[in-house]
Amino acid sequence: MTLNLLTEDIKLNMANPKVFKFKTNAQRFKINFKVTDIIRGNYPHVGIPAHEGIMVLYRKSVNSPQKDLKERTWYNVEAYTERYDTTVFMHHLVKPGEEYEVMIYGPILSKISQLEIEHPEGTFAEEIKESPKSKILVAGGTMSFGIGCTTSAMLFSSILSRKFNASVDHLTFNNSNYLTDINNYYKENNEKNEYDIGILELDYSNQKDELVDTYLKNVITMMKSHCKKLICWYSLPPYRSYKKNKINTILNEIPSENIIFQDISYLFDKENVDICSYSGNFINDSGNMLIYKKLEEIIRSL
Amino acid sequence: MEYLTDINNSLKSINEENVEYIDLFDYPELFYGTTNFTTTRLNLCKFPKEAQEEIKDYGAGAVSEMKNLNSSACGVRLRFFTDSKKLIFKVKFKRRWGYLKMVNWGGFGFDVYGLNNEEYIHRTVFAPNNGHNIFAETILPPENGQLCIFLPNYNTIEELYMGIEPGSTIKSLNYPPDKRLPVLFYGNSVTQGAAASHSGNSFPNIVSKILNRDILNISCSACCRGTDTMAELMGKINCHSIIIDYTRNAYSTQIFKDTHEKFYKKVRSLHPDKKIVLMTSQSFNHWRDYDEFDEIVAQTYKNSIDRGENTEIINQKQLFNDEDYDIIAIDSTHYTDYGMHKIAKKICELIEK
Repeated sequence: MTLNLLTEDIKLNMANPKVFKFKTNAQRFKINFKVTDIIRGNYPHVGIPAHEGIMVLYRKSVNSPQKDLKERTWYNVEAYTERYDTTVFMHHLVKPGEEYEVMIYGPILSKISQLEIEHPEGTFAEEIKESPKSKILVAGGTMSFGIGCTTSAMLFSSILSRKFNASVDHLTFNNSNYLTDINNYYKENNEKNEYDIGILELDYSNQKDELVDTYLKNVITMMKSHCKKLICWYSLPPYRSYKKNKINTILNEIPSENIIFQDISYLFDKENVDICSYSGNFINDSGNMLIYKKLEEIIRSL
Repeated sequence: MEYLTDINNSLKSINEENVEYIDLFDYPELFYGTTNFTTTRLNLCKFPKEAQEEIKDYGAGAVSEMKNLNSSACGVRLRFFTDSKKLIFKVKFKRRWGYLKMVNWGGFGFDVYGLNNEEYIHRTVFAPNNGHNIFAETILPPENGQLCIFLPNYNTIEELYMGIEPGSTIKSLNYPPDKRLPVLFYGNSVTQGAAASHSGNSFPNIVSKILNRDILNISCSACCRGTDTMAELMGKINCHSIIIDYTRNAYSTQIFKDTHEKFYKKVRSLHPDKKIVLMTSQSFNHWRDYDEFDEIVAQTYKNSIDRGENTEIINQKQLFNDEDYDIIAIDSTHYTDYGMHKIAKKICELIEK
């Protein structure tokens, strides 16, 4: 029996990576998936699952006999690419007949063109159509896009979405000069989506300074008009700390109501830089974790 | 980085003018973390023939990993002083395709640190993109000329040349006298280095950086089976302390029960006084069997303490909050750098006790 998870809604939404959820009681299932439009290039700092594969997580169902809140935590199962056997064995994790939920993250540097769940006769598998608690928009460049991650589950936006049960739209670009792209998006689209929280990466170490002058104020204004709260952040290595002055000047020109500013440059401090980054330009899985932790703190205080 | 079809090719995009190449395999004294100290030619293999052959008893997966990785540069460091202002590395790897669970900068990376007294300052990491196994890269040494390069944990270096300015000095950079006895690690894919984002961030390598001490890492993915052969090898090595990360490669709870304490006792008989640290399993998704494994490790530890032995235990799961299990490892097992760092700090705390 098969369940198609690549619905029209998912195809058209603004998530990157795409997120698929279903519930089942199968002790094993197979994920039949294909990817297309694989972006080739120099990516020794992106894991194969994030590039062209999937990452599978599970958690106990709300109907599970164990009502402990911990049981609702998502846990990692396994990463897959098309080249590997994609049968997922769950018998070490769930009891026979026990219902549980599965979440699958798609890749960030390619597109999922097919995703079906093949499950044994006598078991069920059903797409989860839940109402998320909040809607988040993440906008930014390389860091927000997920470059530096081993799997798509390690992006800070992915962590936020599953910890807060939030839907996340992405306006993220694998481009140092991403403010141009964000600005152009708002210029060319009559944006109607409204969000509870916007999260904007204000600048990036290799972004051209003149683009910050030209576009940042407008990008913040546009995002603020569509987000009830806007969290503006940057994480800049010490040799780019001069950028902070310019950004702070721009921020001071914008009404600060509903804007929260956070400097996360401590990722590049002596005690964190080796754990969180490859270089001043790229953060890794742990860097994403620390960005999530700071954003979590801010969001919980809102 | 420049990709080559033959390691002897001249470089097109990297300026080789005024550069002389040395074959680093002729300089084994510059490498730390190998088991072959007295050869005239570098030999990165740490597993005796018997250890390689007995792996056939443990299935096709283990055989494949041992065949591919018995000579990986896992835990090996290239440490030297140079007054050359520029270095060009020319490398030929055995493998050209990355692993599922690691970025290439992690599994295949040359992770370059400058040394300032005992402080390790990260300078860069380089590794080829998928599909390439012969490449060249330039690095600039720090002003004091002291470098420690953590070599790839998950690839075999078949050829390695270093281009230096003519007349430059290259001298090995020893550890301080009281830090030369290595910490000996024996473990699985995690101990070998998956899924650190760059090679120097496997937890054994982090221990080496924190303590500025030599280490010897005889770990191999899927091959950590607690065999007599490996215990005998460990018995031959003069070391500061021993970290045993033997759990999840055991095929079943019964096999693990039959082998864990037996293995520990064999190692202990050969190192009666050394500090031995036992590690429970890396399992962060409530996989049921590993709870039983951890009970077995705890029993081995308790029995050793009852005998008055110099043993410690690290319960890996307890070092992290359950709500963070999905973000301290990239899957159910293989740590991010944050996870690696946490484990390394705990090891340092216990072996320095």
